[in-house]
Amino acid sequence: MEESGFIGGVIAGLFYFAVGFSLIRLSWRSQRPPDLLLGISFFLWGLAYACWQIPIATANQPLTQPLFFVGRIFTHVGTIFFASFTWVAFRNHSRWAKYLVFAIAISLLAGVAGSIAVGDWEGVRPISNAWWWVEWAASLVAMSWVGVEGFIEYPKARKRVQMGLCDPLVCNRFLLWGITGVATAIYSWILMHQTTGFESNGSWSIPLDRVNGTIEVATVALVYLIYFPPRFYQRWIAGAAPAAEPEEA
Amino acid sequence: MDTSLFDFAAQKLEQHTGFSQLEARGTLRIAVKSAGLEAKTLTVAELGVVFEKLMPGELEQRGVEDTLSVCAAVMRDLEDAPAAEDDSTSNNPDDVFRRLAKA
Repeated sequence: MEESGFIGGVIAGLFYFAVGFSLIRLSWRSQRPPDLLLGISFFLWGLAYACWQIPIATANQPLTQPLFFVGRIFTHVGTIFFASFTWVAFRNHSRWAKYLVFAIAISLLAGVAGSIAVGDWEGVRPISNAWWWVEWAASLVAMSWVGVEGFIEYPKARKRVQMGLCDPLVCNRFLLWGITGVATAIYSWILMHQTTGFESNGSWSIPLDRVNGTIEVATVALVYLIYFPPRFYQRWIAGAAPAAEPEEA
Repeated sequence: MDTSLFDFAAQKLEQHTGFSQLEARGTLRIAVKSAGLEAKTLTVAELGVVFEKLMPGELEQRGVEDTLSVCAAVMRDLEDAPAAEDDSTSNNPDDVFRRLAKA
């Protein structure tokens, strides 16, 4: 793996680990399922990044396959929690959303089981392992869903801001959430090209690795703005918000 | 059949305007949507804002006279509305995303 991709992975891993941990702590206080679901999801992704980066950093061949496999499991379980968060936070009363979460979970687990059956433990053989595509599609759907929900909620939240029912900063978080979902879906798409290229010619594309490293850092920046918005950003959003409608006389 | 806050408010709107059930529910649904809200997760405070800021205009468009007193009457009735479930306010997107920055 190229250096920029590695650094992007380390930054993203540490960040998700820290935010996941703080969200789990928040859920302890708030006793609310969405906080816990998102916290576990981020925490597992942080662990997954560690599983990928450690063998790369240490160039430890015997550890590569087992750690890559464990990282893959952490990623998928994290994705299932992430999809559950999307369901509970955006579509709590919706039956189709519940079934979509089940479908994502079953597809991810079936994909891993099928990959193991054909000996692709690391998930790096999309050309010879059809199960890889089941996993990939489920992951892409989960990430795209996040983006779609963010972009659906954002215009509605803008109306609520005008009514004085929503904080402009909360409204902006829906937009950032939508962009994060789209960025992660693009990351999945690029990863698919990288992995198919790796199986067909045995090399990991450096330009695509740079793009994905950049997307990882950009995603971290977006999530940072959602969780820890700096003062200048808060002031900017408050200033740019649509004015609330005046009270009726 | 459980009665939601939306059903309660629509029923009161029907009583105070002489609208049919369909007209009352349809008018309220349009106003709720215009405010960027979901009928299923409404709170009393949100409905209050809808009746204060949007409903007078909606009723006027539908030929209702003295829209302000009609809205005031429904808002008074809302004070006796069955309490919204705790779940509806804690897991709605605004509350979830408001809490995020407190992690």
